[in-house]
Amino acid sequence: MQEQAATAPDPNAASQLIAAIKANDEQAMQRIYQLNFKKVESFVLQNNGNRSAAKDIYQEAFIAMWRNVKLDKFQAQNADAINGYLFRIARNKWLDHLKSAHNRRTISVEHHDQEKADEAQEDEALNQRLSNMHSAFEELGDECRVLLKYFYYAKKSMKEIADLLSLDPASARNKKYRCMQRLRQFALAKQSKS
Amino acid sequence: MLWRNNQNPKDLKLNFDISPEQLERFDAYLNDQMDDQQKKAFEQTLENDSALQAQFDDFREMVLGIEQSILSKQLDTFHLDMEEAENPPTRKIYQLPVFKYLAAACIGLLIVTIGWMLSSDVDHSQFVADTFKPDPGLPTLMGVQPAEGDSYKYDFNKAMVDYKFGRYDDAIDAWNALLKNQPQSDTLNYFLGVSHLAIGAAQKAQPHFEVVIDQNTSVFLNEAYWYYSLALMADGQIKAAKESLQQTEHPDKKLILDRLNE
Repeated sequence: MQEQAATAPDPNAASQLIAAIKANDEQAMQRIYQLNFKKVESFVLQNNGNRSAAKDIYQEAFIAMWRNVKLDKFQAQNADAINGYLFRIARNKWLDHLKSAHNRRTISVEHHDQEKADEAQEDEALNQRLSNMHSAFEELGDECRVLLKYFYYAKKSMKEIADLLSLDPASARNKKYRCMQRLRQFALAKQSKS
Repeated sequence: MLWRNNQNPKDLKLNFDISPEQLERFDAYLNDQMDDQQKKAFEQTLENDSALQAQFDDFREMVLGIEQSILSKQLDTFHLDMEEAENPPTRKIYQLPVFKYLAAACIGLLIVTIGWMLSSDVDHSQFVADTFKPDPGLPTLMGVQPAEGDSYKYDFNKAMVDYKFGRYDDAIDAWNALLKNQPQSDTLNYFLGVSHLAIGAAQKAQPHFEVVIDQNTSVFLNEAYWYYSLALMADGQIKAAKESLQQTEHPDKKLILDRLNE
């Protein structure tokens, strides 16, 4: 489901921020991370949580936000909308956590909103497959992890990667292909066990 | 939109039986490296070829998994940076006056412990494990975007975050990769030595400290002698450990030397 923020539009700033998140721009993501943590931490602390739990739930929420942006499930009409969206995901995740833990204390927030419904439908199968992929990626050798990280996360060109790894471009391309094949094999093995 | 939200996720089978050429085509599309005409043609092909569409969906999910795996570690870095900005870490904690008082207060206990160690068949490695405290590490400042091509700093800092979180094996893997191009780096060798010592691999730690010590000008020299001494003690090389201890200004040095010399 695609969501749109209801505040006054500022398409340029919003589209730049969305583009930065999609490009895994570290500076942009770090700013968002640091800007919103304290608010989430306060909410968790005020609702039967501790700092460690706040960090965990916030990081889960951050990844969910990032993924929804990547998959075009969230479209911000202004740059601030992403902050509100991140907070709401974190809040809903924490409330879900409290409910799942059978915590019967009264929660002083209203949480029957659209994001709640959206997050409740979050694709558990996708989470499981991505978790398998994470485990598979961790099992790859150093060279494969570094190469795939440079290409798919840091968005470096094959020429840059070849220079960094002291390879010729053709070898770097072949190596990337073999690394993806190996990753797939590892992920399939994880998937068959889960 | 090519990501098929209405597809049953359980149907995906990680269809990666694609050629190297197809992979490059997928990469070009995903990285927005096609011109409009190429992009349109590619999307048309996907629409008409359900098998290719399934392969592309699985490929895209693999890429998402790679990215998410890296991001999840990066969030720890963001968090650590945030905490360090609030409470900057201090290296050489043992030089603080309060440490001296604490060290003095602990002398009696250490004397008893070492005396017991020397008068019995106590495993030195256990004593070292009890005595060892890892270097607090260097500030990472991961928020600072590295210069183009400055992957060394990026990878070093990522490993430093692993080190600070106690993920010594990950840090060792990353720093070993960097060491291939900079085998004489005092920083890499020092933190590799400490990391090995932290996981109880005293023998593997030693050559790293030796690189730092041989250079004789490193800012880590004093600490390198200290940790090298611990590595040697854990390895049962008491004479060499004593010689190394002579070279460090660590506050526990005299205490341990006195006992070893008895």
